[in-house]
Amino acid sequence: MTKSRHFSRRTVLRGLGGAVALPWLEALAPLRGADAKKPPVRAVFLYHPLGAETTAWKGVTGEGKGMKLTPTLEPLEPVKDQLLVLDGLNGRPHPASGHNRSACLWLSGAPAGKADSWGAETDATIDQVLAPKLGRGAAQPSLELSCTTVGNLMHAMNLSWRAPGVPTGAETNPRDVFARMFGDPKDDAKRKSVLDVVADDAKQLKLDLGPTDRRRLDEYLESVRALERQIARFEQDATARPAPPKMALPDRPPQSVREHIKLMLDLTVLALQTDFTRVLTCALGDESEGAEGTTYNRRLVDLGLDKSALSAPVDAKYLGWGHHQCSHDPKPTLPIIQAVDRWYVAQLSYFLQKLKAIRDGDGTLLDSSVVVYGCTNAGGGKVGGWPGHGLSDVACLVAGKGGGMLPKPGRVIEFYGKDRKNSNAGVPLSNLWLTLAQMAGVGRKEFGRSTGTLASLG
Amino acid sequence: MRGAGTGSLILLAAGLALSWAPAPTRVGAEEKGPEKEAFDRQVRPVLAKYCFGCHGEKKQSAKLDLAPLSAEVVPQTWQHVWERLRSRQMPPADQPQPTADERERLLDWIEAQFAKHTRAGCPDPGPLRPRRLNVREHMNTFRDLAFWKDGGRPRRTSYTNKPDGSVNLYQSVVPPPEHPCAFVTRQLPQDTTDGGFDTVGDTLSIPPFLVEKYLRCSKTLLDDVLNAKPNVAKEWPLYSNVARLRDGPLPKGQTQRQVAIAYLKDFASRAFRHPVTAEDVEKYAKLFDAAVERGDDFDTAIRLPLQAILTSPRFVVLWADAGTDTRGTGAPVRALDDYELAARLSYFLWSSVPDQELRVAAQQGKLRAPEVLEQHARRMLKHLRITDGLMAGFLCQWLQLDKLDRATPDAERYASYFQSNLAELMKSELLLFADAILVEDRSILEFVDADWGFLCYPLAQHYGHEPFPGKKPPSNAQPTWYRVKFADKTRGGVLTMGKVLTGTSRPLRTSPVHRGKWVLEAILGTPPPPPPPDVDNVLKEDKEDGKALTVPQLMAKHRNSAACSSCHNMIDPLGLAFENFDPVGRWRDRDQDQPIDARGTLSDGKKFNGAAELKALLMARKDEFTRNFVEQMLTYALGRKLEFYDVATVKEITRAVIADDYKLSRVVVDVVKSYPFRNRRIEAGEPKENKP
Repeated sequence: MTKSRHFSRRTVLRGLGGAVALPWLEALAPLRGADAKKPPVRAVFLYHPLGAETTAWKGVTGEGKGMKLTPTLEPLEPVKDQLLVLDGLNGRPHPASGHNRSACLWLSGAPAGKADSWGAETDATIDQVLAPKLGRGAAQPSLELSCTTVGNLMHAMNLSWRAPGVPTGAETNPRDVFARMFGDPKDDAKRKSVLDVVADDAKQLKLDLGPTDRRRLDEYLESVRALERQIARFEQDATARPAPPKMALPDRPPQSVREHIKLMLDLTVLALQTDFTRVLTCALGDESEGAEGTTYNRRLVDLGLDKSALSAPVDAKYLGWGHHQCSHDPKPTLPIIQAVDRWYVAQLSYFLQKLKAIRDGDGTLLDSSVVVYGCTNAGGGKVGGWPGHGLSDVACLVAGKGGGMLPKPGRVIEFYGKDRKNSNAGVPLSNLWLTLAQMAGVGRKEFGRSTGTLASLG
Repeated sequence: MRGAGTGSLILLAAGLALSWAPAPTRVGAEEKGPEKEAFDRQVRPVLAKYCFGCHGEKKQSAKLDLAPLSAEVVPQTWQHVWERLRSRQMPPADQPQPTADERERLLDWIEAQFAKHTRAGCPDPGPLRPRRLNVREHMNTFRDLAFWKDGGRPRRTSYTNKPDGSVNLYQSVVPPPEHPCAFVTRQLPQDTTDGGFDTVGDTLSIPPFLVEKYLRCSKTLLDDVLNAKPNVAKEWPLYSNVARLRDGPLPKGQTQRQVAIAYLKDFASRAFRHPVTAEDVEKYAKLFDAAVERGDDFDTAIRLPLQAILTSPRFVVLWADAGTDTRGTGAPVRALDDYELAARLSYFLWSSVPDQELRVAAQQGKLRAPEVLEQHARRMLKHLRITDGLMAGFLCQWLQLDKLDRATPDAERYASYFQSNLAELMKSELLLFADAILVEDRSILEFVDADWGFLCYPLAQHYGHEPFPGKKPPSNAQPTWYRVKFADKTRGGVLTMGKVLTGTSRPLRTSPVHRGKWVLEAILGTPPPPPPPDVDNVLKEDKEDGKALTVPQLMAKHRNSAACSSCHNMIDPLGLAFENFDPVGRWRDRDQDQPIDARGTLSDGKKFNGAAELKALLMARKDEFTRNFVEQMLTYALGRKLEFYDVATVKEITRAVIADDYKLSRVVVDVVKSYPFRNRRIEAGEPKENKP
């Protein structure tokens, strides 16, 4: 195996631990050929589970460094000039078939006519639409992560969908993600020879099947190709292939929410940094029903918080409630919900600061990325009644300059229709996805429930 | 196209045991004479009397208008009516109810319409679509290819006692036996089922990262087996076979390569559930050759073809090598061939590959005879593999054990629950009971009503069961179990087992909604529709006049809301029947200083007080329970949602089960012998279906 050129394991290590710029991206740049000067555009979609109390997000004023944040958004202080606070976008009213079906709708805005065979509205999501365009040249067109340990409800845990009823799937174990990103060079030649054989099997089987029955084999072949691409990329980069950084990764997904999310976000940074992929979705949690004692029923104590994190006192009996339970009884538990929201926002801040600290071309990794942070609306009923994990009037943050796509961050943009009280009157969230798609050069005229684009973003 | 107007119908139907495609288009404009006459005389008057008030020309609740319905309407539309009527969800309880005779007449007529649906004269067995193995099947298949020898290992057919009166747990489900391929569950992503069985092919898609994980899994398996120490591994077929190929002695006149290829051929035939040709094997053998050429040793070289076989779509995708449209027969339906039947049978009962006996029967072309199928099904029911198959697959998923297992009572108030390890012990209680019904081939009605069960000391204490023969065990981790008789109907049957009662409770209080929903789903097979949009569906712990409300009072309050009442009138009474059991399944006579009120009325007007009386009422409807059990098992076996054309099959099996004293084995055997299990649609030349 050729020795890595000018990377030392230490550079990578430092990059993971602290906010130290890495020469990595520049070293990889020549491999990108003609476009070497201009860093590729990345898109990251982070999902805040079970909804945020969005009234606490509203009321951000000012611009750039002078922006005044609300308490929930305060952790974003160091990166506020990189933010676009989008207020009043409307994904869709409460989902018809149980409230665990918002996560699957967030990135597609699939209209009701797109119901899959479970009656949930699903369709190809924006990340999958962007992936073929943005992802060309990276080892994988996209990467899907989920910080859940029990997610077995497909509509509750999958943000990314390839088609109606077909989730892209999500990695839940940080160790697996790491293994995918760095592979095992010794094993690659063998894996390739085995892949040739099994791909041939799939092609042969397909010949004997009717169009409907071929679907699973197409999926299989696509999966084979994904791995082939990855291996090919590793080979191409053989000389530049850095030694995998040392990360302490447990065998199974960590039981601690804090550790799980931190590892996944570190891996997300690493995936962008090593140009493993340029399109990422990561759900910080699961939308399934909240059973006690599981990671998705996150209590204050699970997040490392206590009473001191609350903005107002709450009855002691609520302190042991999980986030999900609180969100269904928001009046007495509002301070808890807000503290949890703030905690998630702090994770976003951690992530953005890491991106900002990594040099990429003439700017930072954050400059060449679009990071969309979103969630459902679990507000206390102030706008439009009980929205309970619905997608109406959602909170949405966009960070980064997207390689120039979003030249003027550090603003608040309101998208209310004429009727501020009517949460369904807002501009469709799908317009944001359509805008991103068009900015990235995907020739789409409409997307999901879109009615147009968001001109004010540019 | 599904129009927007049918959206609310989808909402209503979502979660029903039988799915239906809402396509309210009518076929055939002209109505035929006698058909129309029968319809006008027998059916329409009943509809007019009980349904048109809300679903007629004047008013279309849920956007449903039944007035234009006729005999000519597609069965999917009638299926909706049939479902609601049969489950007694319609007409609503506060409306006039059809007489038993009217209900029966209408259902019979609709079912007769269903039966008219054929594929060019053949009954429709439904599609058998290619799907990947689920994680359980993957794990069991690995085990049977690598670790477990074929044949042998019959299970004992009853739970017997040791001399001291405790239960002999040899070959039991408690403690759970260690699975040699448990690593598979860690390396493959968890199957997402959206509430159904993990055999339903619709949910088993192949995400882009899966092949990499398949490669890793097969590598781990080969490492685990081939790197093991000989004294541990010599009994494992994969290990001993590779050792034989490597160390010889070789049969006279054969090279190592020839022997290796013969083995690969045999291995691939087992893994692919279908004989492979010498030609097919060459492809895998080339991997071996290339490795030998590179100078790899035998162990390294033989791993590559084995890994390819264990990653191939021929292995991981079921029903893919059927060649559905190449035979050119033009028939719309065909019988499964012997090998397909062998695989379907073994994946149904064992969640694994066919064993040698099945393979031999398939090779001899005997499996298609129904009596031979029955023989094999009965043999397989008594095999040790049934534990990781039908038991873990069907019975546990049917009872929603996974979901029940996730609920956790409040740690402070119910400290003894945690100290005594009751979560585990309650699970064991349920598993032992279900397993006893399975191995002893008992009546499925005992799931609802039995006068026996299994208890251990900590559980008996918790339940207050006296007299209990056992003594306090030294550890609560693995106490001794006793088979006990219950004097009354308070306990007995799964409904009043700790796992179910705890699993459907909130941490600090009972939840009649969850308990009722569980009964509707698991026991009656008539799941309620999901809550309507914009409803906060969690009860507030409200106070009235400064006094905390009891759970039944809370329930009554939310049933006052019009949006909730139509469904909760059906759900809550079932759950309230169990109010005598607290959130950790203990008996109680009072709650919040008030006497327990466990009275309720079923949607058919029958009154009961408490769980014992509810059980009695359920037993009076035992045929409904039986039909639901049959439906559930058929769904699991066929790996698809049931459709209107399966109604006749369900009825037929249900009748046979009733006639055979409700024996569990009768359900299994008749599912196996059923028409949709042994046949499949052929979709050759059909236009692409507009299914997602």
